[in-house]
Amino acid sequence: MRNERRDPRSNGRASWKRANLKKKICPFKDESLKIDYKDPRVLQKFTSERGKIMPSRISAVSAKSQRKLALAIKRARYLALLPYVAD
Amino acid sequence: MNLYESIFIGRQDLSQQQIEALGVSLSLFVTQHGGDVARSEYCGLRGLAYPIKKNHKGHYYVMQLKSDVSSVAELGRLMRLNEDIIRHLIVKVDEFSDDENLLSRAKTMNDDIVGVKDMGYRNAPGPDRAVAEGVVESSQSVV
Repeated sequence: MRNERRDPRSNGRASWKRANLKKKICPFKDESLKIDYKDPRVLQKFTSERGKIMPSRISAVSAKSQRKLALAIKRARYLALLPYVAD
Repeated sequence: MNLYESIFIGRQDLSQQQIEALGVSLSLFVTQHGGDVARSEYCGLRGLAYPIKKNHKGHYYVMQLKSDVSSVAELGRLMRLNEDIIRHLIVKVDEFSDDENLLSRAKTMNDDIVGVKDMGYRNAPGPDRAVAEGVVESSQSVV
């Protein structure tokens, strides 16, 4: 099964914690959602309430996209489209 | 020759005409130095996410231009010297985005970005908000 990812530390047995995880796909995988520093609507979805950039392990963004996303968010912050700190 | 995207924020107490005149003069500078302005757009008076030089709002102006390195550097210098421009950014791009509106797509969420008090909107994603955003489902599950 594709969704059953095995933990390399568990002697070959799939731990149930891992097995229950559904494989998440990167939201930027298809072209429907683009990373653009001029588009705060998309970018703010990947920031926390505090305005911090969300870790990719939560948002499931691929490493490649996460790098672009982080740059785009930082540019948007510079242009005051997104806050540096929101509280 | 490279492709660049230039965006500047004008002071809040200027009029739209003044900002557009400023944009035209900068475009003129680019064309006079052998560059080419593919597109330029006034994107409206938007609220800023944080105050810049005591401005809480700013006129956004976006330009897509083709130019060589030296004149882009000079353009950046001009923007920095101009007191009517409170912030600018010039980014080298691989290709121009052909979106209908460069920035104004997000214009409607002005108040959302601006007011600190309004930042709570992320906690309560109302149905109207979800519709208004029109973002694909895949991202909905993310947040």
